[in-house]
Amino acid sequence: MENDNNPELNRRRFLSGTATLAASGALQGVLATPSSASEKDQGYRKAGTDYDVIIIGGGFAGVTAAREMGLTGFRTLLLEARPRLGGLTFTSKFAGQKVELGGTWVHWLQPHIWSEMQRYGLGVSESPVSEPTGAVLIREDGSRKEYPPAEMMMAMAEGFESFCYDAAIHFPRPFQPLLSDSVRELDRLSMLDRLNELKLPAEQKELVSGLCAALVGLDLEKAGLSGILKSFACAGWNFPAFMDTQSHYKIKGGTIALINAMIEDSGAEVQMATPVEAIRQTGNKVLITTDEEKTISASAVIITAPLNTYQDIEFEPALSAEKQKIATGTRQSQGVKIYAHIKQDIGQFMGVGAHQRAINVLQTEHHGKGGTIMVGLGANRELLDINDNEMVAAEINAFLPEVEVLGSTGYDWLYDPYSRGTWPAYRVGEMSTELETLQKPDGRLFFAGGATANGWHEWMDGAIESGLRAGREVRTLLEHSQPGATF
Amino acid sequence: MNTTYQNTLGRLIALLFLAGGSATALGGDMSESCDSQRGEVIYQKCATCHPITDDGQHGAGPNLFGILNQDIGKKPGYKYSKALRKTDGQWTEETLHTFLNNPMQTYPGTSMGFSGLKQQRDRDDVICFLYLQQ
Repeated sequence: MENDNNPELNRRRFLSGTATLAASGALQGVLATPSSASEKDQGYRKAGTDYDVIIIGGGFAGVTAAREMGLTGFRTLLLEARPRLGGLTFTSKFAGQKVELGGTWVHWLQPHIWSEMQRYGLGVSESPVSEPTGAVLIREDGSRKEYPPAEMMMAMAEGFESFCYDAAIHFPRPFQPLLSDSVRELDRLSMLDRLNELKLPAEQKELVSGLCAALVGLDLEKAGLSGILKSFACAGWNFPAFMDTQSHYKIKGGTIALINAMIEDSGAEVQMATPVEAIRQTGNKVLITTDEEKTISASAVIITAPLNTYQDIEFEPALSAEKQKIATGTRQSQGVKIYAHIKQDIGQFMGVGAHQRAINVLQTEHHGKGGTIMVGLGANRELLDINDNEMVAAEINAFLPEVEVLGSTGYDWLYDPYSRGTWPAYRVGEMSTELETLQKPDGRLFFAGGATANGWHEWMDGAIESGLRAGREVRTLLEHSQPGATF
Repeated sequence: MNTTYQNTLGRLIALLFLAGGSATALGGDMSESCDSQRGEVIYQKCATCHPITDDGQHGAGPNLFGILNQDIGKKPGYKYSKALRKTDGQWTEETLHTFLNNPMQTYPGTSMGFSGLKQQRDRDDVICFLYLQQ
């Protein structure tokens, strides 16, 4: 059986003193890649720690940081709490098709992930969105309106470009998101404030509200306007390009193909199914305690786990007061992503549900003789129990009353203790006041993850950007330490 | 009656016979009311993490082949959360019902990212399907 999420690597090295498991192709515990990069003697490596750096979290931020450290010769250990790599991405199967239960789409306008795909020779596959043959809006009151697809896309384009009318003013260089002083003022506004300001015709407002809700995965009254304008700026302040980044191109072989390519290249050791319970900074070391009460030491640690999970880790000394305040809040999106298998081949369909609806965007992911697989996004998990087939079917039938829903699936990101939310999302006021804090090291602890990214914070690109930054910061710390000195 | 259903029903009857010739293995009259075929459809949600094959290979979650009456948190080759590693007992129809209804409340600290199957019929049918996979 193919099992991309637990790749059998060529060589395994078991970390002394750690409990590891490896069984019949399903590989957990410690992995070591064939590269000898981490075995190099770079001269600045010191005795007295098990590793130069430990990375917590094996999503895109973590594997990027691991690759950056491992390939430059540092003894690198990546600890992942789940028995799989990928973090907020998860390549799986549903109804005979490969599906992405988390982060999915990529684009050449997302420079970091595109660069990684080129580096490892990974191409793209496409979601069938280029020529929709059916389009429906579910309005706030639950009524259903069919559109000629081009008309709906035009109304959405005009409305969303109005919504983002000042993106270029506030974000002239979106990868320096706080460059303009005006961002602090902008950050006081919610996405709902902007929608109300625009005075769009009712249906167009509902179309834009549904798209916004799907993008941010939050109640629009709470969702910060600045985050979405920054993302629009990242796509060149242009609606067709922005939409192309959102739902068109996927990594051929799945997100796990890129994760595997990066980690195999890293030279890092990987220990999966190993939650971290405590992080203690003492002198020039950081001591990590795992759920099996093993202690591992390193000169520095990069934390890439989602902010919402910091509350489950004991920090000594405590994190800075400003970081603690952020970590005790809820910083991830509350959205859902579902897949539904429909008996009929309905072709390329595009549906939008107004922002109070359970499903805000619904589109075809695969279609053919075996029927259709739809993918849906909703902003509010409380409105849709993704584990209840009948509830999901009812929401699909609101868009498509004539179809038979054969089954559905999704991943409960909000209930996963290692994510406690879906993708990173800013609430009102957070971007301008918290981003720099989130990026700032805390002693020998360094921070990465999409929420700490300058650019595409909600996307895989942002996670990779942050892993590159954190890797650079730790290399700088370690390389500037004098040989023979304790650092 | 389609072939799949006939096969499933046949296996269920055979297993019940092996279990003592009564329906008690699945809890009283459950075998008469549960629908393993519907359970298989619902299991698609579980299958994103849990393989159910007789090769023993695990995925992001443990392989659930033959899970009924096995020790909780003890499948060889899979590292369970601390919460499940420390749990005694076996996966019976009753413990599965409780767990599937609300995993995190049943075993606080479980790493299974799943809020539960809230409809009793859904749980009945999934357990019925699981029972046949051994």
